[in-house]
Amino acid sequence: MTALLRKAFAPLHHQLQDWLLRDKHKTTSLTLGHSTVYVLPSKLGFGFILVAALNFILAANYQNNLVQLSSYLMLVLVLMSLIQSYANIKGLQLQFKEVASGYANQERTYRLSLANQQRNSYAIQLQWQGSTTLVEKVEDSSQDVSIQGGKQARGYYKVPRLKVFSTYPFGLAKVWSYLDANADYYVYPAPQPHNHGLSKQALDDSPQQNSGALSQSGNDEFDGLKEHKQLADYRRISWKHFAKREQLLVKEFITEADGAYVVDFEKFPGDVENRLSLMAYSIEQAQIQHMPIAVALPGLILACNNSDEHYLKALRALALYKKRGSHHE
Amino acid sequence: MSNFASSALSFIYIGILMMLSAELPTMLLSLLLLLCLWNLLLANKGLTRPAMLATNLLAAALLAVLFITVNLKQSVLLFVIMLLQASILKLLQAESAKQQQTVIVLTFFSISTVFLYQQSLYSTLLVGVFFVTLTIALASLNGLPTTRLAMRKSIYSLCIAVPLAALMLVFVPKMPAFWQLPGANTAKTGLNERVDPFDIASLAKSDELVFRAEFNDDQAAPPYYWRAMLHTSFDGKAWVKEKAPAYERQNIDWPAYTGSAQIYLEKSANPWLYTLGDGVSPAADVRNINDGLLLRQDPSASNFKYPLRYRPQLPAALSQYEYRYYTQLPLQGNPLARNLAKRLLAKSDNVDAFISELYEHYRYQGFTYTLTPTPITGSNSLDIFLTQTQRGFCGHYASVSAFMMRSVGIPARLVSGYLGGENVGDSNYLSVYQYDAHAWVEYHDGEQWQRFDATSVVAPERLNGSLSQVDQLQQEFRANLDLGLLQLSGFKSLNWLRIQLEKIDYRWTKWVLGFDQEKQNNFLKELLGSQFAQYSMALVVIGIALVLFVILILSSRHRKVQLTFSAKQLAKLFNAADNSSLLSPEQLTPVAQLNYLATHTPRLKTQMEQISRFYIQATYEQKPLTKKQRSEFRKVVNKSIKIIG
Repeated sequence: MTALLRKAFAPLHHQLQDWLLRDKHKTTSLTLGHSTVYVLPSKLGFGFILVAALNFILAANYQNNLVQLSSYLMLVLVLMSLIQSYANIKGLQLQFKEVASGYANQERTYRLSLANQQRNSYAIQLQWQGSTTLVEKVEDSSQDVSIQGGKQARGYYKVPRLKVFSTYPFGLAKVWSYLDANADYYVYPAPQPHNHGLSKQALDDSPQQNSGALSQSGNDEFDGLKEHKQLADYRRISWKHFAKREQLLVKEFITEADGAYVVDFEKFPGDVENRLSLMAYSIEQAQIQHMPIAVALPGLILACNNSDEHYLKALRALALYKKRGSHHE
Repeated sequence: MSNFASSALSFIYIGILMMLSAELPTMLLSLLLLLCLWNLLLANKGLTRPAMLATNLLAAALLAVLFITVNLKQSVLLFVIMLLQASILKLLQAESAKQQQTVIVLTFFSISTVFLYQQSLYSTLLVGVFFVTLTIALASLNGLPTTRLAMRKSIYSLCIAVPLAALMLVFVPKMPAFWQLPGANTAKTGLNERVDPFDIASLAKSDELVFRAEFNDDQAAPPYYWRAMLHTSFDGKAWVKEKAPAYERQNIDWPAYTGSAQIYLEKSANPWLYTLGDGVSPAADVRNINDGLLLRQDPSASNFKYPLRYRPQLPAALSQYEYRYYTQLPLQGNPLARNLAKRLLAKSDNVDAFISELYEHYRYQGFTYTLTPTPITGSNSLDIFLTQTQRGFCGHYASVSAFMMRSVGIPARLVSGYLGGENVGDSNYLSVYQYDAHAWVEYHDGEQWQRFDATSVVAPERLNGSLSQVDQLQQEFRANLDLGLLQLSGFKSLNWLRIQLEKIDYRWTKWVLGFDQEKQNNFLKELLGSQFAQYSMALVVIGIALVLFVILILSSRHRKVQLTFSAKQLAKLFNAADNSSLLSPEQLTPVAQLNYLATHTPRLKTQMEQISRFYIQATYEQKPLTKKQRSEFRKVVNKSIKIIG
């Protein structure tokens, strides 16, 4: 029931929160102060207040001053917790470092550094993507912290908001704030190991390049490549047939990636995601070997190259394929 | 960290159980203690906690034991035990920090239930220790790096919170009870509705406080006979309390009651209250009933106080019906006692003479007062006591005397209550303990009720003060007392300590426990004036807001820059030099400044060079100063300061 309600009100809740927070937290570095920190009793704190109320009723009905005192004491403790929690987190400096791009089968890591020039902060908790990391003590010298987030589907993402909170000292009050770094990252398709060859797709073979690639061999990866070579010959025969289907592509391909190994979307079996995964593996392997490759996706061709930017560009292209324009929050 | 919380909780529950041990059935008590010990073991040995099913079965078993061993009428006790059981079982299951936090919050309620049964200063201090430990446990579960820090934070917070809470207790207007709740029964009184002393071999006495009486006049004088209830019918073996319901007294002649006292009753579930002679009370929750006795409107567990007005003479008139009622006896039994009474009556011609004959009989026929009488079983126990054993305490003498009086047609009844009370170190109050419990006789001499107490001839010292102060019986008395400070009262210093503690406890009872709505009203009116008293709540809110604001300011201060030892010394020196305007007007490094002083103020030259050496060693050469060097450093600096000014 509550879950249903929460679901129903989620968009409203988001809007309300955005409006309340405005743009105060949209920054890569934030020093917590009274305008950026929110304080309320925690769940445990509300339980504590409930017990204090029970004690109060008990005290009134039995006219018992000692129980009454204990009830007041509990109330004051909650109030003091609110203050101490706030004082503890005040002055905490959050500096966003990065969320590195990576493959879909890897967990994302949020890296930031913490420091507090004004005082030591204790028991700071950082929550990101559903996982929480505890930092027991933050001192004036800055300290790097990474938070392991979850895995995500391939795509292009804006860095989700980081929540920083603490229930110091007794767990009765909760102070929290957000760091909404304006940064992004890519999640590439999870590489899936395979034996499909890369075809050297060009009208005329250039043996130098071929042997050039092979000359770097000497490990398992390139055993595969040899096989691919045979496959490549086979594929060359059916090339025209292929060209009829994707005419534009072929033309570009021929002009831009002449005589290179091509990681070609169309050459891989399976559905879109599967093909992208297989391609990601090929690109990853090529990067390891610094082998020049060209990448072909329906509607996009990346010319043969072996620079790191090139591989990155290729992987990004895979991440964005058929997802363009749709940013994930 | 969670180990600390779990162990601390075990100890707290052991403490709570021990404090309530008098109320709990032994079996249940030992079972719950075992569970606490088990949890202690689990917490420290890292063993696996019992499964859900096992705990549920355990809970069911404990409930069964509870319902078998505890009377269902004791609803408050049932509730308290169930709360304790649930908390302890939950503790046994609590593995994660979150679960333990829940148990801790629950325990804040559990420790309050102790106050339903015990409110002495010492119990309060003990519960206070529990409270502190609970907050430390809470902090330790909250990701603080060390338990030490958790302790520091807890104690710091409570040092501020306790005065604030006390302030609230004083200034926040008290609420009347919302609901009528059942009282927490305690059956610890020394008094009983049935007086049957004959099968008792040893009168075990408790040194528990029953009440304190603060006299508002100086007409009170010993012996203090505190009347509580009347036993008006003899069933052949024991004197029992009147079954008929008491009736309310009408048309009380208030001015006739010249004695005045304030009674501070310890918590008790008994309805009867205590009075000297014929007593009445103007308090609304006290019923003034026939025979000059008082009853409590609603006996509950809490401490209670009431004003008492009293006069020595008892209500006089005796109707025909009452005469018959007070001379009733079983037709059979105790022939020797009846005979003895007849013989004594034959020697005298009126009631007064009979009474003196009876006193004489006790005095000269070898009767002695003892707390360890020979037990008498079977019928005709009065006869056996009168003729054979002749050793007994108040109950024996009172039972026999009332019987003999009735047998010769003198209206008589047994009264139980307390005799005396301890006047601690010249204070204006008496403390009456359970061991002061007493029974005596009231007889009607034709005009009014009179008191007859055989103890006054058998053990006359007993009349002037507390039983603890009767020299003759002290040995015996101490042997019969539970171990306590009183038992050691033979040692002078310990007795002094006992008296001091007793005084503190009196103030505690009077000022803290007895701080009720009326006292609060008076206090607020006196402090704020009657027209502002109603704003006390606002005062509290403002006061607390202010204190919290100050704490906020204080705790938001920036970290202090920690000066090193040598930097402090230099700062001292430069400060002094600056005051005598010896410093260079330019901004210089410390060493350059020292050089400047050495060259421009030649009388400081040697000292400055020395200081410079120390400073360079500590600051730039990374060689910490030894203890000796430190003290030399300090000496040189002080000397230089002396030279400067």
